Amino acid sequence: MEYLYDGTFDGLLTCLYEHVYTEKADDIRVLEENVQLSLGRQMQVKTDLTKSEKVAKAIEKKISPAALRRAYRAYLTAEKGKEMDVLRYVFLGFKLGRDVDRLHGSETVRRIDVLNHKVSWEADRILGILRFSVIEGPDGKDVLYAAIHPNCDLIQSIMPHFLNRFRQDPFIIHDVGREKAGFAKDDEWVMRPLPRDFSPQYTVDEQQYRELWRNYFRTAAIDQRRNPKLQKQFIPTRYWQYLTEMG
Amino acid sequence: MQNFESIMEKLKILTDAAKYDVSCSSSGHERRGQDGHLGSSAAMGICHTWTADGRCVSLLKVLYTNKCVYDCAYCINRRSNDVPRAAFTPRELADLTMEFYRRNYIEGLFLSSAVNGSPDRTLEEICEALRILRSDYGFLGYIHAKLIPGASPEMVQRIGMLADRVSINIELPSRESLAALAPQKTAAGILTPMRQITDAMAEQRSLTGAGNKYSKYRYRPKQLPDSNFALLGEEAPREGRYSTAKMVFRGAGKNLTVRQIDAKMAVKEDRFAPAGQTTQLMVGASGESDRQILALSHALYKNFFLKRVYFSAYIPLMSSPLLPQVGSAVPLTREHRLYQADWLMRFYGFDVSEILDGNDPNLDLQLDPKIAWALRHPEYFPMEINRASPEEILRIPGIGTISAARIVRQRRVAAVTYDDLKRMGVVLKRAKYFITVGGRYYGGGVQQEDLREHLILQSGGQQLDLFAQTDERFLGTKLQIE
Repeated sequence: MEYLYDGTFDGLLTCLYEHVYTEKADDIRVLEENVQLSLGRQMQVKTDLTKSEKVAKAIEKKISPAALRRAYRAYLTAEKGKEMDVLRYVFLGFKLGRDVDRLHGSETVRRIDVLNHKVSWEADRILGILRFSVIEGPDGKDVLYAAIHPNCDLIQSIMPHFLNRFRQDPFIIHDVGREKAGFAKDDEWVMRPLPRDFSPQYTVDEQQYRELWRNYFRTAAIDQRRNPKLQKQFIPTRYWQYLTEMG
Repeated sequence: MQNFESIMEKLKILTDAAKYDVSCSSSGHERRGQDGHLGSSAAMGICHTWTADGRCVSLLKVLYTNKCVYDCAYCINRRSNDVPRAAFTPRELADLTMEFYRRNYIEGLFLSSAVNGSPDRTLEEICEALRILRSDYGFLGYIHAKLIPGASPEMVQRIGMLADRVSINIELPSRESLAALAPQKTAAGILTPMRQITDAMAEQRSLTGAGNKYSKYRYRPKQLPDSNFALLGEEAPREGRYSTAKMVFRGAGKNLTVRQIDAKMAVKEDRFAPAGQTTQLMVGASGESDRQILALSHALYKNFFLKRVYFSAYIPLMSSPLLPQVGSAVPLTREHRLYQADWLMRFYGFDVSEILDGNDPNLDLQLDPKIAWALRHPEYFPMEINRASPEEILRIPGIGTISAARIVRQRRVAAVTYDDLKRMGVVLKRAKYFITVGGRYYGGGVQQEDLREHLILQSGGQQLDLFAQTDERFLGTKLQIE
């Protein structure tokens, strides 16, 4: 049976519930509009918060709270087949209990390790390479705005870092690909939809500070040690379009 | 910005003059933000970009000034070198740091300087720049301040109270080369402030209670501007139980606000150089052997409790009869091997005498010092993966700290097989010659006496890669040797 779900984590947990109580899942995919239904047997799984809550509790109790976090982080990646990876991991965990995370030699556990690593690597990287621009807020005061297009869905993972750090100005972090943004002010933040083509009004000084930064960036490289391959290894070119200094 | 052109010019000159200092790490101290302040500090350190040479940029690394009264032979800023000179004012530097920081370009400031007039006169201005940042602007980001040899005790104390990390570069690893290449500096001028910093950090740990000279200085929070943020609009629709802030704060047990987390996480903070002290040794400008350099760095870790000793391959830019010829090769491979040896000492339980226990006072340029050690000590190998102690496993070439931890973790619930090792991230093409798994040896096909050649050839295939990674893998914050 092929499951189609709505793409939320609760939806995925509901699928795990149905896997036990309805019929085993062979594949789990996100339900997309305008996609032709395939010939195989399919089922649309309706997200049910009661069911997802039960599964979440079971994972925390039978495996460990850390296992729920690991499953969640795996879900945040954009990898194909992540849903079945999570399913296999959770059901292996139900058998083995908390020891499942010690089995680094198991393909199932390793896959979850790899997915977790993808999220944490990208989140760590984005803490550094996110670039804010100062824009004019509705009341004339400064607001910081940053656009980014990460592979993983990680705005909610990086918001607390910036919320803790930037206490003087409100800020917006825009996931351009997913058309949503985190809006933060003082000690709170919310997630809201924000269209791809959002174009803010930059302050007068903004261009000058960008130029100063580009100038710094170019000057700081040592010619005798030039190594663009290494540079790209640390900061893949897919991120460059959002980096002030690469422009 | 009114003085854009002049700032641009100064930034160019003073960045160019500072870039040969290798350290750019922003790690070692965790500090949460505060209301009305800007900034925080992450213990893991954060890299913000990578320049065309593949080095990480974490801090705004500039000299305060490159006007210098000293004439050290190896230095591009020496008095007799004909280069454009400039100096920031404290306010200019503080403003630039704040503006870069709020755009998330940098993690903080790395401030070093040439000697303009006298060490203390220069440090006085640096102090003023840091004071503006910390108390006028409420800056809580990372500051690494480089002291100047010969600084007075009062100045060391003042800078230590403002910066997260302080350092003095030793540069020349022996008294003889110091006397020859930097005649105006003395060993005492370098070591006395270093000793003072070490002692101050020890003293600070031992003092408790209110009102001692290191007790936390609290900044009075500024009034937050009372603007209404129309962009925020109404409450965002919750996309489900795990899609909003809740999951992020689950670790704390509840859905907490940032302020509640602040209160929970409030801890006594070290005031004097909370991220410790570091130094830098230049490699290849003078004639010291690797054994001398490693022995010195070992002594520095042991006696001065340094957080890091950096090695910097000398780039021949200055012409002098005492130095390698201008344009000659930069000893990058040697620098890389020294960092590997440094790593073995700090994280792998090797002693300096073990790393160089052969006859050669220098490290083998062709092989990782860990492989070289293993080849010199066949009596320890092959090791049985399922029996060896964690310390022993760390000594196997091809196994790093992460894969060693995984092996030990899995062993508690299930035996480790050869295929498991691959999935754990072990580099089997190296490790297989040094291990048995369940009693079986997998490294057949290569004779013991050919092993050295074989391993060199093997790393030859990725030599470029390995050397390419020299710098940042070892200068950045997240590092592994394997």
